[in-house]
Order: sequence, then structure tokens, then C-alpha cells
Amino acid sequence: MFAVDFDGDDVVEWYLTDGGARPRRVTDYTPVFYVAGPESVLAALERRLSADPAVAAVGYDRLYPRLDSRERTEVLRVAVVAPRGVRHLARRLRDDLLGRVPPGDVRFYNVDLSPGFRYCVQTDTPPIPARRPRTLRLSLPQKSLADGDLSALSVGGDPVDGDEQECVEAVATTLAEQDPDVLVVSSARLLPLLRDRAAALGVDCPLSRDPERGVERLAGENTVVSYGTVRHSPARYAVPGRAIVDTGNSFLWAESRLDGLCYLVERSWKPLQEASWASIGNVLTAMQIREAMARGVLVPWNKRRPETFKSVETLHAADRGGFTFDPKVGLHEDVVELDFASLYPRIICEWNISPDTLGCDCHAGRADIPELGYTICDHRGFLPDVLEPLLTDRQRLKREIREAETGGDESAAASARAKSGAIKWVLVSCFGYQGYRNAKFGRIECHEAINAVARDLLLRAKETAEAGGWRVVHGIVDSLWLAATREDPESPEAIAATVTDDCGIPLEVEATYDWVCFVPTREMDRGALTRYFGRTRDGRYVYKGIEIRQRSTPEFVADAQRDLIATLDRHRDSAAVCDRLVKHRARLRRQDVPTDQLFVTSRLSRAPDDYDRNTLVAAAGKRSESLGVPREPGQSVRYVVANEDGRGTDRVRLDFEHPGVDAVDTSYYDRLLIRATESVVSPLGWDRTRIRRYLSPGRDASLSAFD
Amino acid sequence: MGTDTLSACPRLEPGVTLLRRSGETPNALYRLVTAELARRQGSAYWVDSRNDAVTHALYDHAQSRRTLRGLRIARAFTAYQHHELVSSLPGRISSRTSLVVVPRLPALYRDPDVPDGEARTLFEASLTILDALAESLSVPVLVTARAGTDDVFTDALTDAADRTIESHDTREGVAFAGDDVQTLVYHHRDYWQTTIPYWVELLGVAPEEDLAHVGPASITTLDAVAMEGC
Repeated sequence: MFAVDFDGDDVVEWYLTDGGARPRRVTDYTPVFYVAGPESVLAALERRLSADPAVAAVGYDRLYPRLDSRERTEVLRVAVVAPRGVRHLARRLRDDLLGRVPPGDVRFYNVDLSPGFRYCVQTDTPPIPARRPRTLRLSLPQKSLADGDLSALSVGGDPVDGDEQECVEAVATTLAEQDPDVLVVSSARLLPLLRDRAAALGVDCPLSRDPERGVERLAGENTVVSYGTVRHSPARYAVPGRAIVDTGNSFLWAESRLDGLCYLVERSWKPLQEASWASIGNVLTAMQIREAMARGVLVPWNKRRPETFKSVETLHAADRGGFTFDPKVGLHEDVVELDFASLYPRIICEWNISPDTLGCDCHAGRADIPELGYTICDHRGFLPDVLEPLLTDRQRLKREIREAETGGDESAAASARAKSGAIKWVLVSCFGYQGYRNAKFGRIECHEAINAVARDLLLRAKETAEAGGWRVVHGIVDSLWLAATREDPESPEAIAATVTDDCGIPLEVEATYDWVCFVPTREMDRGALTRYFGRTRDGRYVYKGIEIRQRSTPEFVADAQRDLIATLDRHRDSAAVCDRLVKHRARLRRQDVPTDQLFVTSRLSRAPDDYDRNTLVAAAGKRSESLGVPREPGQSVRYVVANEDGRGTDRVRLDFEHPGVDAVDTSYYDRLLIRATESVVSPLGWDRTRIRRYLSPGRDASLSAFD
Repeated sequence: MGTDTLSACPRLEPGVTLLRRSGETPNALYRLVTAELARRQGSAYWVDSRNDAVTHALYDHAQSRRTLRGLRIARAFTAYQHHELVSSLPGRISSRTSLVVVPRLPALYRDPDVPDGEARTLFEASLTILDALAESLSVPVLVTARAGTDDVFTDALTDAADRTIESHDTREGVAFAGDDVQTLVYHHRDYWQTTIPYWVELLGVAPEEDLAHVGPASITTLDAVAMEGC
């Protein structure tokens, strides 16, 4: 099966065929959720629900209420008539029970599963297509979308040369010719616009594969706060028989494209449509839900399981976070970086850390986790079962990438890279997710235990390295940067092999740097943990945390910084870097930099009017709104700064206004240049005051000598 | 030094005490709790919200590590977890328990991910449990809510509390005020800052005619008294 959609009380499954897709209608699907509680309450509920028209059937099942439950509990099984009606009914029941039973006495399970995913897991139907889905890209610039103007539409990556009528016809023709399975759109709002325009212009342009049913709106747009960042969640649309990918709002598409997405579909059983708009956490939860259901464990609606009471001492030790070793600010030559590959997920698997194994009664008293003394059960845990296949697949894919690259098969290599990338994201988030407040199967003690083991491993690696003739110049979470302390240190490979044998988790030589610079914090008082740059022995530059890597940095500034780092590489001298800076500043002053290299991209963290301070991003948001392209919190704006010290919306010009070079506030960009330069020379002890002094017009030989 | 710190800090009597704090830091909470733990024996429980239980801060405020030895902390991150933890207290607490601390009691119940009706029911149930514990076991229960966040939750809390202490950050440190509480001295790491009510309490109010005779000498004496306290 490839896709599933819902038509009234029926489910329509879609299977990809060589020529296109064929539907299969299912009329007897009734989604199920569970209720646990005192016998009398369940009995009363059973009586009431059997007469409820929204309910198809009621009965009892015996399942495990928690991952670590030893015994099954009898729970009420409620089958709902509407395929997408579970949440609605569960909410109604919950509100109804409020005040009638003590809170917490009645618990709901298997409630908030997305409808397509629920269908797949409940009916044991994997949403895995029989062939690779065919995609069609449709994109429209933001301003045109806001104006409802289709004439700038691109179909399959090519702009249609013509008016709206011709654009809609081009879409219709391409749909008929290619019969794509996935519509990859620049915004989901393009779909209702296309549908309405086609109707108005009298063009037959069926976006759907079902002639009876067209574009369906599933959810309105809203704003959500996740991990403290505001994200804009746009309206969602479904098209029977096809999946929609909204590229502006699909993290997974942006990161891993079709092959990566398809891999996650296989692992999570979230159909492509739902996976495309899912977050990593959501995909990981789906994998966990599958595993839980396979184990006969109920999926809680609201996470109730709290932390256990601990002493201040334990909490103090547990709260320490990851390993960090303050970087030694400066330029270091001949540095080796050693990384533990997939450290956190491997710790989970090797140490069997899982909500159901940590602190078990059967091995009570045994201190399995360093520092914290937590006990871990010998019984194979839930979380390792979820993650192990991903680790295995990632290893296999890494091998495939190498083989494909050596064999010159670039498309196979790209596909494996996309899959491997998708796995990387899941593995990276699996640790943090254990501590996330709403993670269904998260447990804060697991988060603490993983951290404690990681700290211990890094310290052991550090000791081994030091004994082998190295010192740590920087270390963070899963990586160590080493510089030799004597003439003939042990080889980095030998150090890595010793640590790997000792720890059971592979430590790998990630890079050998000819030189690396650790950048101080803006206050210049100590090393910033994640700001460094350098050049590896094979001639590759590495940049972390500096302006080049920041999304908001204009291309011109990033290019200049790259150039300055290359200058530093050649001369190892701050003055030489500043001399080079003069060229970039002059280009800027001559208005020789095209504006498209000066755009600043920023995400709105709130509605433009809600900013307390009159920031540039607020000005850009307001300006966009006043020009008919309203921006929601979480969405990005692209602008050039026209007059930083000006007032209101006049401070910026937006990308779709196509501002000219004379509109640019050169002093603003000049300051960005100086800042970027400071990052490059601050490891050598120069701050922006020193840079400005060096560049000041009055500087002469004697002053330089004085420096 | 120890006794002076304690006398500077209101005692927590059996029953529910509501600390309403203004200012950003939970320093008033740390001071009240560590002072009370220094006075009492036995285990104590802390149900945490929004990461008020910062172990560094607790260590900083406690006179010694031993003060915190009997304290057990569990953190809640959702209203459901909070209620679950509060519900588990009756199984843990006895009349020998020295203190129960529930900072920012309403905070998690205000979160938008809990439906209003359910949040209120859960909150009321948690409050009822704490109230019953305080009464039946004569245990001091300290709950806090930020000043200026008045809504149905804080209203219910104020009604349920046996007494209310207000705290605010001053330039000289945390000040407490309440029915029978007033901050008389502020403790600093190296010295005491006194207040006029402190001297009034210590020396009584001088008859008006005597004020004329108060000169630098007597001020030095007063400072000496203050220094002895350290």
C-alpha cells in the first residue's frame, strides 16, 4: 500500500501500479482505543457506550498498562464508527467523566495516533509502496501566492511561459502525462488556489486520483511552540490517491528527500503523507508505538508517569548534562578529532537503558550506571529494540555509500546518503526525546543515565589519550580534540582502538587538522563550546558555529568570512586578515555587491506587532504585512537592511521588492563584516576594537609597530 | 551564625503556608526551605515544577550538605505528572515528615496542553490532598505562587492556605512579610544589613526626647552588635 485516505466511514487504500495507482475500498474498519479504570466505572461505561451511535463495538482486552508492567490489566476496548473519530469521542468521554470520578482513576490509551498511521498499525497493513513513487514539483513565489496569481508557476522545476490559463493547463497536461504519486509543492495553499482557478477558468485539472473527490482541507493553520521555538504550522490539505509534500514545512523532506522519507515510512509505518509533515519526534514516537503495540503495551494518551523521588545529591549528579571540556582558545596545529559514532543510541543499546529496564525491582541494589548508581534490568529493553535496527541499517548504508562512491554510482550513493541522513536525525533526537516532557515513552531517569554513561566514557577516553602522549584541547559530548604532548605519541588510530575495546562503543578518528582555531565567546573571556574552524589534512575547511554557518548571515558576509579564513590559513597573521578585509569593505562601499547576496533571512518568533523592541525582523514582518504578504510566527522573512537607524518599516526592503544596490545601508553590512572578521582573528587575541584601530585611516607604520 | 540565619527567616508551622513571591529568583523559597530543614529532623519531600529545584542554589543556601540529606525531590513536567506525584505523597509521608514543598503549584496546570476543565479538576484534587496531609499529619506544607499571577488557581490556593507569606527581592536581599512575619535583618554572605524594625525590636523605641542624644558613638555600638551576629 502507498496511501490511505478516508471517505465518510470508508477507508480507501491506494496501491501503486506500474501505470499509476489503483484504489481499494474498505468498509469495515473501526478504529480502537482503550479505557482503564475501576471495574464498576468500566462496566457503567460499557453499558452507555453500547448504545452510543458513534460506537461500533465495545469489549474487553487484556493488555499491559505500562512498559514495565509485569501483568496484563483488563481494559475496555472501544471501537469507533468514524475512521477519524477516536480523538473526538475520547475527549467527549473524558469531559463527561470529569468531576464524576477522581482524576487519574480513569485513563485513556491509544487515543492520539494520526488516522493513517492508526489504520496501518491496527490492520497490520504496511504503507510501503511497491515501487518508487513518482514526484511532481509545483512552485510559486510567496508574493504571487499571497496575491493569488498563478502566472509565475513552475511545473516540474520549469517556469511556465504564459498566463494563468496556460499555467493551469500546463499542470493538467503534466498530471495526465506523468500521473505523479507525490505532489511536491512550495506551499500547500497552492492546492486550493489551483483547484479554484481551474474551476474559474474552466480547465479540467484533476489534482486528485478519485474523480468524485477533490482537495480536502484537513487542518487550519496554527502556531505551535515546540522546544521553546515558535513554529508556524500551515493548513494541511490531502488529495485522494496522492501524497502532498509542502517543502516549506517538511523538515524531513528538507533533510532527507524522497528516499529518506520512504525509509522512515518503512520503519515507522506512518504513510508518506503523514511522515512528510511529521517532526522527527513524531516519527520516533510512531516507531515506539509500533514496538509498544507489538509487546501488548497500551499507548498512554497523556504522559503521567513522573520522575521518582531522589536525593539532592543524586539529582545534583544527574543534572550535570553532557561532557564538556572548555576549549583552549587559539590556533592549534596538528590536532586530531576523535568521535564516538552515534554515542547516545549506542549507549542505550549497549547499556540496555530503557524506561522499562531502569530501576527494576529484580536487580535492585546493583549499581549499573556510574555516578548515579541506577540499576538496569538484564531483560532486553524496549528502547534498544526500537533503536538497534536503525543503528544496523545506518552501518549498512554507510558501507553502501562507500561502495557506490567507489563504483561511481552517484544515484545509488545519493539514495543511501538520504536514508542514512534520515536515520541520523532520528538517532540524534532519541536521546533528547527521553527527557522531553510530552514524550509518550520518555523517562527523565533514562536521559540522566545516558548522560552519566557518556560522561564516564569521555573521561576514560581522555585518560587513555593522555597516557598515549596527547592532551585534550577541546571536548564536547561525544568528541575530543587532541594535540600531541610529546615527539612520538601513540597513533590516533591506536588510541581509538584501545578506547573502543575498553568501552564497547566505537571511537573513530573523525578528522586530522593541519590547524584548528577555537573561538572565544563574544566577551572574549573563555572558549565558546561550539565555535571553531580549521583546515583538515586533506585540504577541507571545517566551520562550526561561526557566521558562515548561521542561517541569517547574508551570502556576501559568509563568502567574505570564508575568504578571510583562507587568508589566515596562508599567513597565520591577524594583520594580514585585516588587510584582506579592506578589499571586502571597499566592494561594499563601492556598491559593488548585488543585493541578492545581502539578504538576511530571519525567522519571526512572534507576530510582527507583538515584538516589544523594534527589531529589524519585526520591521521586516510588518513591512511584509503592509505589502500584502502576511507572515506568521515561525515563518521566515528575507530582507536587506536599508536604514538600520531609520523608523518603522522603512528600515528594510523585502526580497520580493527586488531592492537595488542604492537601497542598502552599507554601514550595517560593514558592521557584520567586522563581526565576521572578529570571529576569525579573535582566536589570535584580536577583538573588534583592535581591528578597527588597525583599519583606522590615521594608522601609520609607527602605530603598527606599536601594535 | 546559624541561629541568626534561622531567626531571620520565618518559621513554617504545620498547615499550608503559601509563599507569594515577586521577583525573578526563587531565593525566598530556598531560604525558607533550607532554614526549616536545619531546624527539623526527618525526611522532606519536594514536588518540583519548572525546574525550581536547582541543586546548586540549594547547596548555596544550606548551611551544610547535611541539612539537605533528608530531602527527596521529584520533578514534574506536565500537570498529569504533577498530580501523580502529589497523589503519591500520602503513601510516603508520616507524622515524622518534616516538610513538604510544592513550588509553583499552579504552573503546570496552566499549560495550554491540558484542557481547562481537566486542569482545574486535577489542580483541585492536588490541592485537596496537600491540605488533608497538612491537617491530618500536622506537617508543614509550603506552596508557592508568583505574585501578580492571580487567576482561579491562585485564588483557590489563597483560600486553602492557612497563612500567606509574601517575599520580595530588595537591594539588600530577600524580604519576607506576612501576618506574623517581617524581615528584620538581611543576611549577606559576609555581613548583616539591619532594618529599623530590627533595632526597634532589639532596643525598643527611644522616647522622643532621647533622640537628640543619639550620636555617632551609639551608632558604632549598634554596628558592633550587628557584627557580632556574623
